[in-house]
Amino acid sequence: MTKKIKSYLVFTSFLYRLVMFLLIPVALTVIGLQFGIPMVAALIPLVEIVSDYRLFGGIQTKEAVKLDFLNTSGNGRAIMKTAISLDIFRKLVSVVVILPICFLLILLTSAEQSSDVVSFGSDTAVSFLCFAAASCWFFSVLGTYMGRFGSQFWFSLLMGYLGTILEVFCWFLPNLLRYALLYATGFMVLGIWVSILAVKTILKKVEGSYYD
Amino acid sequence: MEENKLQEFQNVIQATNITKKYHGFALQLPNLALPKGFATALIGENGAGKTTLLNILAGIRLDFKGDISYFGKPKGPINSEIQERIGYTGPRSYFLPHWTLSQVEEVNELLFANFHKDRFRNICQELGITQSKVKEIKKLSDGNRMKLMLASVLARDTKLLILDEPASPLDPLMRDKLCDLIRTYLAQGNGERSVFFSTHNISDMENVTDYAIIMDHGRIVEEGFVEDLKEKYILVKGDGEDANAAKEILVSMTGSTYGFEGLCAAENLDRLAGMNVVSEVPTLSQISVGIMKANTNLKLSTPSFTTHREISS
Repeated sequence: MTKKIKSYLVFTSFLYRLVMFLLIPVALTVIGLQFGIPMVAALIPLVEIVSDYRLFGGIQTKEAVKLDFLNTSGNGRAIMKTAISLDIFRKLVSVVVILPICFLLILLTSAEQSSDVVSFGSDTAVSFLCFAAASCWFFSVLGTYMGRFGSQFWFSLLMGYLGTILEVFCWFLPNLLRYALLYATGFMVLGIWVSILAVKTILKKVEGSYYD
Repeated sequence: MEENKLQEFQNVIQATNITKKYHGFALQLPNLALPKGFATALIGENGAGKTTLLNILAGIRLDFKGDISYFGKPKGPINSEIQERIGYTGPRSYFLPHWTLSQVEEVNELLFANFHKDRFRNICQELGITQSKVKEIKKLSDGNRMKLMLASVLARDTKLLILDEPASPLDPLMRDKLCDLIRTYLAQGNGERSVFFSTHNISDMENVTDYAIIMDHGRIVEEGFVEDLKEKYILVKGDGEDANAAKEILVSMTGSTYGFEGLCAAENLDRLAGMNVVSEVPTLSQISVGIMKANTNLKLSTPSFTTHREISS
């Protein structure tokens, strides 16, 4: 397991780790306290998609680096697969941790902006959180996947904005609170599908680098 | 003769019928043998197929036909165990552009069981690559990027180094250092380590080259131990008056304003008798250029010759 985690971490610089594993979660929690859960859920895709530029930006483009170095080792493909998979998993863990913490802090502090959240029953609260987590994770994974088809920063930024806009639209889905769990399930299924697609695309790319 | 001599040595790589076709280009090597324990230089003009061959041997290109045997083992596809014993550096994309020095170290540790972190740090220091210098790979010069690649492969316990154009991005001082590194690598291997590198900087790399393979258009046009090639070919310099007659005998010829210079097969030297020529032992660079010239499809301009009489008049 340690080796698998290392396989992911090796693609991340110290700065990336500091920002993504510490500063961003803290910043998002503070924003959540101030502006509510939907705001955090909308910002997560933007942050995740844009930050991916520092990890695997442009890796799915035709002119992408061929990673000869990874190909010189029999472990190269496995490391790449693990890194991509764990990155997707890390995104999920990230939302699953940040959103409930935000929610709890809001409850504890009873911030004015989130009076509606405070009034939720426990069932509704869980559904609400599941929906927020699943939807923003889905758009994060989708935007990240799409963003890797471009090698320029502006393309990642564009995908980030799109992810955020789509997430905002989701909060206007009909009967949201009533069907929140159903929507969440749908987003999870879609998210898993995109995740599989993302891993397969990278592996195909790595495999293809051995050929013309 | 070369074949017999090669049989005296064990080969680190023995390949047969290697074929790789591109649009308008075909790499075709019926037989390729790299002697074990030596540094072999791969020489050829641009597009001769050097990089393709090195990529095939390093296992980073798999779309080819043919059989390769590594380290005297039975022929078969390259596997992790073989790759572990090969250190490869290439001119193309190698590391991810935003990686830092510590990431390069970490990824090496993950990829190769025989990577030594301390050795890597020492070599980096020796080559002048420091953490503060390597903010990101993409910000490094080509020369420093090559140094980092060399440090990566030299920090491993390998039996074969495959280096694609290692000298090209390096300054003259570092080329000298590269030769030192290769010599030390071979010396520490007690005959078990080999190096195969491609180069256009033949003069700079000559003092570390034991065996040379000259390629043209996907074929090997000449190969042999450098000392043997220097016996096989003679450098001939003569007066412009004899140029046309000598042209028929020489492997290739270069003209100058007052004479010619050409490569002659030692067996044909007698045929130059009566001409006003001097002969010298050629350098590997002169042999390579002469042979490449004789085989190239490039339309090189025909040298015009001036006689001494014309110069004095």
